[in-house]
Amino acid sequence: MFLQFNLYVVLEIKMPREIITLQIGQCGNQIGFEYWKQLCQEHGIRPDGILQDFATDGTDRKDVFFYQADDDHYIPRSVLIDLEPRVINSIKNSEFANLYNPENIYLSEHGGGAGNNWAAGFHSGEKIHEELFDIIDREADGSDNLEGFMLCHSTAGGTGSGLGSYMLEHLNDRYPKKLIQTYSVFPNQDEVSDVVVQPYNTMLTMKRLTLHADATVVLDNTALNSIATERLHIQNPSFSQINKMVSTIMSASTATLRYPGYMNNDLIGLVASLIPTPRLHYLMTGYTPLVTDQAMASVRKTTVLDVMRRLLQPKNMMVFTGRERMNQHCYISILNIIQGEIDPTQVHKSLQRIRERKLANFIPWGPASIQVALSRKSPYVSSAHRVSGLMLANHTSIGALFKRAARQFDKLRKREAFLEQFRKEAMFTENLDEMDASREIVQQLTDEYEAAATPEYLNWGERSST
Amino acid sequence: MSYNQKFQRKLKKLTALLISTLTDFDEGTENHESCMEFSLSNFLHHRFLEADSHKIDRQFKALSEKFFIHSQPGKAKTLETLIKTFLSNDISELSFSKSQVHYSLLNIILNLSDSPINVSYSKTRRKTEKVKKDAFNWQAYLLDGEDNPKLWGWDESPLSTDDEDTDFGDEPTQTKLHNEPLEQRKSLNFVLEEQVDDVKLVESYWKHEPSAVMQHAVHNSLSTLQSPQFNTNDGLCLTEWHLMRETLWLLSGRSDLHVFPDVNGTNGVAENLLLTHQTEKSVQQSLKLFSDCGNQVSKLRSFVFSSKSHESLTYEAFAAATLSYLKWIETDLLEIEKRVVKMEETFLMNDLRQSLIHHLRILHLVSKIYDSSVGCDKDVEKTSVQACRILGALYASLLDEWNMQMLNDCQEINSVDVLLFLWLESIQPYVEIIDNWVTCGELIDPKKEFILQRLSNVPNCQDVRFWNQAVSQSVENDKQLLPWLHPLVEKIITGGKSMEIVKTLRIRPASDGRQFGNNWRSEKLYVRFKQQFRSLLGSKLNSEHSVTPEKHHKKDKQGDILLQANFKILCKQQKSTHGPDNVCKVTKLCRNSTPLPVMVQQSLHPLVETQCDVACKDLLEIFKTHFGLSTTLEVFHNFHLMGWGDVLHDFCLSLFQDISTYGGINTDLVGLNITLQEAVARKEPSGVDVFVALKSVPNSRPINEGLLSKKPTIEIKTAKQLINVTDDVLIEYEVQWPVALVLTKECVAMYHNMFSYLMQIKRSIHSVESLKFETIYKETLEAPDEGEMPFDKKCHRLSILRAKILHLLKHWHSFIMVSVIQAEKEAFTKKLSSAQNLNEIICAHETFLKRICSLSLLVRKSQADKLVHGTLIKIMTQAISFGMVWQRGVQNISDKTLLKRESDFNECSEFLGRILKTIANRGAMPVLDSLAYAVLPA
Repeated sequence: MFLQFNLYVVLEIKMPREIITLQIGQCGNQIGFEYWKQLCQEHGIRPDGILQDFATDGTDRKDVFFYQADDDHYIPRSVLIDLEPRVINSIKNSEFANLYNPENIYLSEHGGGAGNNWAAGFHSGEKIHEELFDIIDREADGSDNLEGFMLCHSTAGGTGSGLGSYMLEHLNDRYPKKLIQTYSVFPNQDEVSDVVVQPYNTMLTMKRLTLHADATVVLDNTALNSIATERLHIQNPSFSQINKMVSTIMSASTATLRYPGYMNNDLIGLVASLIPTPRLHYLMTGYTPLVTDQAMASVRKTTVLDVMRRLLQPKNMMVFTGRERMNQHCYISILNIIQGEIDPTQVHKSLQRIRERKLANFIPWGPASIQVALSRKSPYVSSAHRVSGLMLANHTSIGALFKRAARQFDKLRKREAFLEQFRKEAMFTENLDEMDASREIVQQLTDEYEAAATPEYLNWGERSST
Repeated sequence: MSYNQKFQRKLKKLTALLISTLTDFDEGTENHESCMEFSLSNFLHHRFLEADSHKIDRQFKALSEKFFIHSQPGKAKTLETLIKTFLSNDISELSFSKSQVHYSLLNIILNLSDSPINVSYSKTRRKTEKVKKDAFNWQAYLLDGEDNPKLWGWDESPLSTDDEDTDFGDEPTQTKLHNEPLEQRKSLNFVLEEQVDDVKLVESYWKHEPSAVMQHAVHNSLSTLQSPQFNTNDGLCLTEWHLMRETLWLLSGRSDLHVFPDVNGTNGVAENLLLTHQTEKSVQQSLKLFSDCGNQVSKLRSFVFSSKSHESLTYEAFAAATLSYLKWIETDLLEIEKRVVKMEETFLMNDLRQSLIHHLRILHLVSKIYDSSVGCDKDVEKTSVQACRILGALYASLLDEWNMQMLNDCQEINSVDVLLFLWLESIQPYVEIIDNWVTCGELIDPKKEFILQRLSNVPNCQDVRFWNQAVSQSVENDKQLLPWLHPLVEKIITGGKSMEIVKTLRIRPASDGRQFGNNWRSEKLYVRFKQQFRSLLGSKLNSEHSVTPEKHHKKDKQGDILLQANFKILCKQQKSTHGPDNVCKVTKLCRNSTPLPVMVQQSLHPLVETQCDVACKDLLEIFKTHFGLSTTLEVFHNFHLMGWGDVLHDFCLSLFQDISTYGGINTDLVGLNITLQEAVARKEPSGVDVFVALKSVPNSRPINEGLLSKKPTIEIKTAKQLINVTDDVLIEYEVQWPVALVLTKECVAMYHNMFSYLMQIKRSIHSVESLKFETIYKETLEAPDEGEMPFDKKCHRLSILRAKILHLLKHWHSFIMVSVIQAEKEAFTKKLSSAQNLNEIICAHETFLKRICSLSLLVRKSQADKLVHGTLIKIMTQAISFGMVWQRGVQNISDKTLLKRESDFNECSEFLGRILKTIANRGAMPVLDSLAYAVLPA
């Protein structure tokens, strides 16, 4: 008889792959909050962390994102960081107050926030470094085999962008082998007036994103807003509505980790094939069906081909590319995560169809890489649609977003507008080299994205490393 | 009172006597006087009641009942009869039957009786007066001088004992074998008890020499010419009556008769038969028919009573059926014989032939059947062949007759009836064997006559070869011989084997066939088949009559009951002769249009199929509930086919890390098993009974070795071995009987193959996937070597190469897991849930595995497949070595290496893509098309 050994021997057992979520700043915490709400619903966890009765026999993997305290008490592996209390307090006052580990919440003492100043946020990171990393270290120790971090933040504000950038730099140092994936919210162009210094913040953040993140899921508020307005027919979409869309995207992107199937069982596997070179790691998203597509869904059955076709439609892409000529751009790689009742035999047929009809334009220097990951849906969340799909795509037109930000940065920089608040911080007292350096990086990035759409990309190599 | 004086005096006298008798009083005493007075006054004045007839009747009834109760039924009966007789007879001219006098007398008797029960009664014999016979012989007197019509041809010779002996001598020896009551035989005697005066003895014509016959013939003809009145018949001349009786004997099974002598073992027709009104030749010709018939009868008889008929159960059944048919013939012969003997009507040879014509025909058919089957038997033949042959001959003959029947009008004695009877009886052993096998799991076939044989080299159904090899078909051409059974053979085999396993497992399935109705197991298959068949025949009969008298009758609303009864009698009357009770009548078939095979099929097939289905379903249920067939299949799917992706991913990851750390697989099985169980525990807390084994370590069950011992690893020596490092790892799961019937060793080997293959793919993917950009994009102070490209470029190129390799491998992996394994699993699951018997499950499982292996191009049959596999191995090896190279850092990778790797990979992927396209274009595996395009470089 095989004797089951229950003691841990000195063998390097590296198995479960936990992911720690870092929610930084106002936006980051808001989308993080929605995300955990969604996850609790999907896994049948009550707002206080206890497993619902109907969910005790589930075959889903909760341990990637949740920590099981005692038998039924699930705690998100999440660190909530903010420099002002408003959002976190609202979380603490919500029904999900008891869900989070209170030790994982970092709220700044003075609670003044970063005032939409990247530098302020960044420097506060230096001040609270120890405390933050204490929390993170503790969480990391509580994992058997940490796979990586998921960072939720915005690029336009102060905390999310500044402190987030700080975290990116230092996480890499501290945990060099761990994956860092970010969900970065880019500002809505229509709301430029709200935070005028957005472009500065964005540029500075983007340098860190480019250099230190392994993958970035771009959440473009402009696109999200216009989709909400036009498709969902919401006049003035509120943040919570937008955030709901964001949480759907985030949960769908982690579906294969939480509902293990035949493949794509870890984060590395998901993103590795999307990212050919270290810098081109910005992923745009698409999701279908959005809520008002109910009419469509009721007419006929949704097949894999339907879903994939719709995901490839430009109107479903959640990045506003503006004036870019789309025919110059192409897909570097696509990953479609399809959830629901799917006939696996349809998958290869759909891929063939897409290829035949040339529904997607691919890079000339490499293979046309569409991957399909099939996943189950949560049995506890009813949805009107049998099949839903998320697309994570590495598309060269994402550079448009960065170019836009760069242009705006240039405009501001030329006029040296709003620089006083930045000069107050240590990094910029002497010079604004940091800004320019960031601008340079972003320029290289956009150039690389443009080159990637051409066959010459094979010989790309002009880059100076910093 | 003067006229009464005499009467009065007499009365007084009698009264006195009565009194003195009854009492002891003497005459003249005072008591006597008072008694006298009392009595006389009573006689004068008292009105005695009349005897009440009803009361008397009642009393006698009660009395007879009393007799019955006291076990004296004889007395009761006698009493009743006597009373009846008494009451019906007259006593005198005045009092007729049942008059008051009768009842009075009965009353007196009743009153006088003391205790009737205790009296023993014996019947007094009546002395009947014999009527004195007139001694005068009136018959002789009257017939004197008249011609005696009965004297033509035979004599009234006195009883001669010799004749009696020869006549009846050979009977007893024959009757022994018949086992029939002797009384029946006696009726063949020509001597009847009552007709002592009327003896019909036959002149022993057989004693005459043949030459004498000839002479006699001439003599006779001469004498008749001379004087017509001259009667010189001395017994040489035969009449048809003689012939008839000999024929009847012949047909009853005697042999070696005078008219039909034994010629070389068969009956022939004697020559020199002299009939007054026919020539010899014509006699012989007409008798030939009977002699042939007699031969047939004796042949069949000898078969029935020989040991040959016991060679197999089918033969026995056939013999029994034939015997009852022969008995039927004999009964008919007896009837005919009686008619012949009575001589009340004209009944000659032709009439005999007419009345027997149907039997003659049927006998001929049966004899033909016998010749074509039993007659052809050779010693070396298998009993099953013989059994098949006879059943085939019976069926063919039956079918012919059935089809002919549709054309002809219905006859009195139906050949179809008889053949059907014979056939139904003969197939009984076969049907019972089937029944036993499919219901009880035992193939009871002592004489080995069934077409399916259970091989003795696989005695136990737990043997590995049981399912495939235990049963073989021993007769080849069963399709033409047994067309009614042929379609069922497959089902019977499956059902029988299933039942055998079910019985061996001795677990009663929950359903127990209840859904098939309550009585489905209570009666034997044969009985149900016959019932079904008969009902089908019956229904055909009823449906064909468009206007039956009963229906007709229903049209008048309140028919006359008598009329109804008469019609019923008319309908039931059938003119056919009385045959054996269990021959089902199929008269009026001429209007029946359903062919026989269809009817047989409709009656037999559903019953057998139902029973087989039950057996199969029972087995399946047991498999699923008790032996966890589904669970076992799931385990193999989850582990060997990596259905539990996360568990296997965890396990493989640690394994791969070990390999890269230590350069090979650590043969520490304990550690490997811990890893696996830990991974499993995350998914299934109760654990799964799988364990890791290494092919190279023979005793692969982990024993309690030192936990920390690190045994020497399996070294990688050459680059080619890189990919094969993981081939050593196996996941084992114990499969026991009876699940091993489905998961055979070959199947398990296929699962192992797939597992190794998937491990190889996973390893190569892991090697590339886990590469980090930081490893090569490191800031370095070194400058690139002379002539080498700058590091940036090199890193870029390396990254892109990595992306390409990763893309190809991931597509391949995704293709296998999703389009092959997942898709096939769904199809297999559907088949599994709809399977009716074990065969279907085994087939479905094999198909599933084979398709997986062939679609993932693991099966290397054709040249193209081999090329594909070889190229893939190359690519995978390249991937692993690429990973190793990457880890060394960009400064240690020369341009040459990079370029070589790039070109190698491009070549391989292009080649692979093209081959895949070729294979896809062939059409067999269109699913490869998308894979081909994914693989081909831009």
